[in-house]
Amino acid sequence: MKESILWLFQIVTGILIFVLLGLHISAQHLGTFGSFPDLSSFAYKTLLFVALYHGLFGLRSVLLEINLGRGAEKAISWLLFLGGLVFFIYYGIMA
Amino acid sequence: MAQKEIQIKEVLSDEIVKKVKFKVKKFDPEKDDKPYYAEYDVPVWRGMTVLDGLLYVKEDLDGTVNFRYSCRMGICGSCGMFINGKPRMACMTQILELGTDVIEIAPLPNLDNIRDLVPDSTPFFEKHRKVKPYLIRQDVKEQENPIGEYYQTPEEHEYYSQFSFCIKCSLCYAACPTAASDPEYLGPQALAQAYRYSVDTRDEGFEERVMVVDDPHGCWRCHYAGACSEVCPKGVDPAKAIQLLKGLILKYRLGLKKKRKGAGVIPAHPRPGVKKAPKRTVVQED
Ligand code: SF4
Ligand code: SF4
Ligand code: FES
Repeated sequence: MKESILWLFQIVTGILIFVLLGLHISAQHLGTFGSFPDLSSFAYKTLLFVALYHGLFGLRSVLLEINLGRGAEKAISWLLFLGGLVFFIYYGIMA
Repeated sequence: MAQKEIQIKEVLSDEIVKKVKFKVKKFDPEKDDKPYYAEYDVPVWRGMTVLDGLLYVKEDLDGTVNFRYSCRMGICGSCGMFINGKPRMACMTQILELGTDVIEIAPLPNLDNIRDLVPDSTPFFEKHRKVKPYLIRQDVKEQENPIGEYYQTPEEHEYYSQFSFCIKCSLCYAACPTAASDPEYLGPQALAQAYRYSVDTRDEGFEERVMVVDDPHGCWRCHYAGACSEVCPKGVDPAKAIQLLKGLILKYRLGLKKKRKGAGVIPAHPRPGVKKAPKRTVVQED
């Protein structure tokens, strides 16, 4: 995928984290979605997804700046993508 | 009037006002294992620049000191150095304004060192060339055999005017933290020039430049900390140009950027009230 689009997701997920974190906290501590547990779980899963993307893309950006070579950079990108996916499936879908 | 004359005399007086110590980083790859600092006492008069001080050292104290300069007036961009911990133009830095008795001078960081204060600017210029810093036209034949000048209104000129003041001094590149850790990063100067040409209404090469700058080591690695803009001696503000470039590329990738043809040639008989284009100054010999 083009670097510009990956970067755009980084910005969008950054904004979404604020919104979703607010929803998550209010669901957990104020019982906002008391009668809609599905909505609360959806907010949590989405938050997990966007936070994972945002964090892992940030980590990738740091690693790219060390300039390890194009081959290593591709490998890192794939590793982070697959690592994030496994994490999300385990903690977001299966949990 | 008399008051003004006195002021000018004071500014240009060659009376020595103090002495400062120049600590100059020296390194000769053929002789030295590692760089070291040589110290020189330099008498200072009002209006004296760091470049003047270095010329004094070279002429009167140590002829082996190497540094690069040409115009002595902030135009050629060749006297960039790391002066008291900041990238600056030696010919534009007043010694008295530094306000210190010791001036430490080293070659610009983020570039290899050829000798003493001379950096190897090759990667910097290679990156500049990579972004195609010139007008690209689809009609190459017309561009090679121009019949007139391209239209551009003063408002359109403003889109890039500020970014065209760049003198390629590489101070921004030396100040950039991303360029420090990532030698592949295109750097503030090249990216600013990619923007400068892409918003020029005479240009038709945006797509070609996007291929170069929309890259893991292109404009997306810029943190927008602005160290580049802070040191730029020409007020180019490359950090701003890079953020505008990011916006332009995103618009293009999302299909929101209008396609446009490069400005046309001013006709030989323009509209009434509009001045005729000046005659070509360069005549191509057939
Ligand atoms: S704003 Fe961008 S280009 Fe300028 S110094 Fe910071 S990281 Fe480098
Ligand atoms: S942008 Fe400014 S600092 Fe950078 S090369 Fe051009 S003139 Fe020098
Ligand atoms: S000598 Fe030309 S810019 Fe300093």
